[in-house]
Amino acid sequence: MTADAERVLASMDVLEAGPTVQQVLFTKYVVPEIEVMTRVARAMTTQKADAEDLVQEALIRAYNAIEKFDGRHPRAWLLTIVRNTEYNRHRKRRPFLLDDADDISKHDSPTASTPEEQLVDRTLDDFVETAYKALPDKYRDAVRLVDIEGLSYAEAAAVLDTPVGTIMSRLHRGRKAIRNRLLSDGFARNRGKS
Amino acid sequence: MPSVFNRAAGNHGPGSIGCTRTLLKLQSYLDGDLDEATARKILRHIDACERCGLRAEAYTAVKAALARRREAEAGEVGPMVGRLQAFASDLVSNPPR
Repeated sequence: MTADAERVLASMDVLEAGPTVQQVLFTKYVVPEIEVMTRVARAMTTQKADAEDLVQEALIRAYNAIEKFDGRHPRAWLLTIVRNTEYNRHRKRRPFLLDDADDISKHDSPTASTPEEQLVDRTLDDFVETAYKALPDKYRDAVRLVDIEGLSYAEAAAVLDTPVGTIMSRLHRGRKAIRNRLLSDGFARNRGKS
Repeated sequence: MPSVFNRAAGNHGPGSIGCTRTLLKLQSYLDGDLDEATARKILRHIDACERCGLRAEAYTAVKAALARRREAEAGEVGPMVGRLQAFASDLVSNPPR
């Protein structure tokens, strides 16, 4: 159990009747995942405040549903709650992560940059950042969840509500597009040299 | 068949796999998502094949650069995570009725 979960459990000692099953399960399964829930929520929203509201609402939903949770794959379960919460909150305003446009080529134009920006001493991270931001939404979402947030294929599939095979395909195409962009930007090297 | 033709076809010895299959499985290999036997074949191929080896190095570098973004963003979400942990504590101590 994480230090955060232990702290929450310790705070329940002051309760007269002791912790309920709901409180114990929430502390065991949900509290350790708050950070990853926050990171994913931040990726889903444009404003920090929206991300915080989203996680708060997801935590309340998780608390209310925790006794029905079977205890398997808590992260995937929680990220599904975050995704559904976001979908219900904003589907009319912003169809986040639901973009199903399929043609990478029509999105694959470089982001605009000034000559000054191009002259800056750019490291590999800068090149990757630029290429990552130029990806179509659905590829960028898969790359973000797996390579930046560190989710497994299955967890990313839960967030995006797509089969694992689709996640793998989007992730691989996204990385390939980044690699191709690096090559076209002249960021190539010989094997064994940095 | 002379080995030079095997190399040209991307084959690098008995029991090895070629460039086409390696490229299909390369990213899964780098993600640690392959069974041990297949992973060993991929490793043997990318050790022997310069083109596939370079691709593997490129994808490894891309993955590492993206992972560094996570560290760079940690400072941004840290305070928010703290507030949400406090919210969760409060939720447990004072559950909604």
